[in-house]
Amino acid sequence: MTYALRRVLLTLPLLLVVSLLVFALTDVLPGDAADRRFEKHPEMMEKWRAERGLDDPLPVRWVRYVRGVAGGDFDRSYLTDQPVGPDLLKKLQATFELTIFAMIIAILVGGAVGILSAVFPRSPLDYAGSLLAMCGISMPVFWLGMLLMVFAVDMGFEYGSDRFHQDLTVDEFSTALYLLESPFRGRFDVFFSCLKHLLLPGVALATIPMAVITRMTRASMLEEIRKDYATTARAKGLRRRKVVLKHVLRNALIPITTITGLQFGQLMGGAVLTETVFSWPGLGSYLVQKGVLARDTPVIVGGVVLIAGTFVVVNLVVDLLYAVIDPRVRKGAA
Amino acid sequence: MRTVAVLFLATLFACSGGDKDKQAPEVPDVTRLMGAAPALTDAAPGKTFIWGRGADASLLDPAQITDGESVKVVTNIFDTLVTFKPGGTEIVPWLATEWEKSADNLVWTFTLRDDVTFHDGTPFNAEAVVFTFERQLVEGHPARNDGDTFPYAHDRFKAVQKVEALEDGRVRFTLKEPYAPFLSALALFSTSIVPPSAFTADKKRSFASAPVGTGPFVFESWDRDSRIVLRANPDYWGGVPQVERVIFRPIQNAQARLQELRSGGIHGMDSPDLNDLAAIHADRRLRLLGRPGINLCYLAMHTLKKPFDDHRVRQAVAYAIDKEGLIEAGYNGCAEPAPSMCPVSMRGHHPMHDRRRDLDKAKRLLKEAGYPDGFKTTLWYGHNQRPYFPKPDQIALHLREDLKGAGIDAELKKLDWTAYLEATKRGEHDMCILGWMADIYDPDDFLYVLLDKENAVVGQANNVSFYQGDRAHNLMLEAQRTFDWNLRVKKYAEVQEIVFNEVPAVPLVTAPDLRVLRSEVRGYILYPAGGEYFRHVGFAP
Repeated sequence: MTYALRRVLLTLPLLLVVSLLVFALTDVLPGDAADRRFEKHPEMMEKWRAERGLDDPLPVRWVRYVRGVAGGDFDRSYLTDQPVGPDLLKKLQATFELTIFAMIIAILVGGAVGILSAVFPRSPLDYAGSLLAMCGISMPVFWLGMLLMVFAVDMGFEYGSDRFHQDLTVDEFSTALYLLESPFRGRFDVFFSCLKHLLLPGVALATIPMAVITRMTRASMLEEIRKDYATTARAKGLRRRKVVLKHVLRNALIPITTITGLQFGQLMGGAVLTETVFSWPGLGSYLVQKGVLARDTPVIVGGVVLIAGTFVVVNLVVDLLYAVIDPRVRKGAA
Repeated sequence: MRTVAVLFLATLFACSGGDKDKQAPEVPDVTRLMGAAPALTDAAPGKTFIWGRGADASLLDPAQITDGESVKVVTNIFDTLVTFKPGGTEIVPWLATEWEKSADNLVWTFTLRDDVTFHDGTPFNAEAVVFTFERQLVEGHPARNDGDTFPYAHDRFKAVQKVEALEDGRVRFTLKEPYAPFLSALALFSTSIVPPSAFTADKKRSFASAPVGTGPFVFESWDRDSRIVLRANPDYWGGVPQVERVIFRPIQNAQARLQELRSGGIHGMDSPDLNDLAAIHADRRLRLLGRPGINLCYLAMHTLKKPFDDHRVRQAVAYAIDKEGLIEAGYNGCAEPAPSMCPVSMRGHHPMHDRRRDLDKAKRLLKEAGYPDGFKTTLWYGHNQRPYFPKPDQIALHLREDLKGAGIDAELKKLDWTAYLEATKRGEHDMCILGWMADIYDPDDFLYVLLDKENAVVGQANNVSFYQGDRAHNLMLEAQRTFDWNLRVKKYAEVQEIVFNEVPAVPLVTAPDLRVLRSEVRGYILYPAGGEYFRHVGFAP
């Protein structure tokens, strides 16, 4: 328990450092959205900056920002003066759902192919797995995305961007995790529509982590499968399936879990290409379009802090999973 | 490894083999496209019309926006006092049924419709009109938020001295000086009438993200960067729209937008990729609409800097450019050469015999000006695609090569869009490629804005040639005060002749406005002056 507690407590200073870094970096950048907004009225800009407290020293602004975020306020846009928090959180949930979906595909397919490749090394199955992994790593996501889209349309699959069919409404939903929330509300129309809309971007996004997980699982399993305990277990008469799934896989799981966690975190920030190609209204494309390109500082800072926060939380979960998988981690900590 | 290579080659072979059997579809002649879908005769009721475009709106307060994506939405939520005839540019009565102006052209009185209510149920009346204009024109107006800017108020409406509600329900505008484009300016989206009830202290902050108007569609919701939903206004004074809902969807990539149109996820879109026009034209599920755009891409020369302070050098530049070649290289053949700084599609355009590329003449002019061996200079451009500037690099490279033919060695300078606009407004360039799209349908919007010395203030210049021509300046100011259209046209014709000879900028091309619709869409009309108007749109049953 102390292990878990210590890990949780460690994330807080980490997030503070990240927010300070982003805050300082965007501060150094010359110009922001306000310069453009008040292009014709420089005198209004001074008044506006003073009222928003943007002339205060950096540490003062940072403390104010952190306090605001702790209370759920992510500041207001420099361009529109509207609060950016609600939009950011909504987009974060969209990206989260897409990422989870992609990771499930990646883990199921990548894991299965990796295990089979390790169990039957140098077989046609192994080669096919390697080919799949190589394609996954080397194919640019935007190209694969366009390809999937063209095929889908040509084959009559009713492809649609956005998160669900335009005729559906989700006014009563309390989160923006539509896929996860819809079964609880009995809205299976929304559930299936979300699933359909997730399919293409999910597959496109899954290719790279799928490839990485395949390679990692294969390597890690191969190493374990050759160890003496595995041979002994087989010699004792245990069936191969049991040896592989119960003993070898469990021991091979630590590096696989690490890499999966890292991939998940990476996808949260790296889904921007997939989101752009499929017009998925997620955090990545929002951050680029409304933040970086428009130079709207609150959107940039808020978006990066949220992505970093998710990354930290996912890694925390991975660290906690180590303890579940490997009792030595727990005991070592105690 | 060998297996992989074989599979890869097989895939390549399969992909390239398919093309040989198909005949390449023909690129359509964009000048012959229709500007409207077939009219709606028998509608399939209660459907949602979904429009795909390249980006989301920025704000939905008509008085504060300047970006085209926001304009497309607000033209469906709001009404203006006067508007454009569907598919045309003629000004027709709208919320105002008739108007009269005083003999000195300073006082304009408008009679208003009395059967109109705002979406929040409050009545549309003279007070609302006064409120709409005073919010934009009066400093410190209580309906303003900190930081509100009204980009058109001090520009297009600087001549307005006061706006009053008369006892008989009419509205009176008093101008400081006669301003001939005034009526055209009243059709501009920024003058959309807003309800005073939506600007109480607790509501005014949210107006830009939850607008209230009198228009054919009522704002319903806005999921930023994802969708804007409007619902048909059942009480619309101009007749209930044919579709129940309109959704605006930003789909950044033009090819992804087209795929979604093909699959039926959206029903119409703008700005197709020019490389896709042939395929769109050949696809029976789709219909390509087009019109000559009211826009202009031009090459400006800084007339206060050497060597461009000499008009012979500027003429040499004009003779060096091959506009037909530019259209092939930078616009896939889909644009019209522009002979004048007032586009062909704008009323008041003066037909002129354009220069053709003539390198001998260009070199002779350079020699006369004292540059027998040509000179070195810089050519600036922005990296963003614009409707009149679809392939920035190709266009800039083509111009550089053209200039090289006359001995002018132009070094290309490519900047981020915002930085580029700022630099050109400050006059840091020697030559630059820029474009303009009309805000109001009046030649004043091209000639005065882009060429008058009043607009050559360093730091905020739209006249990025910093052209100071006094004769043109006087003519343009006179034209602003001349209400007889025939007389005005003569003045603008003279201005166009002057700038054709003095060449502060070389007009390059006018790009067409293109839309793609699914074939079942009916009643869509392409408005030349910008904005989208979906009140006529429906679906074939």
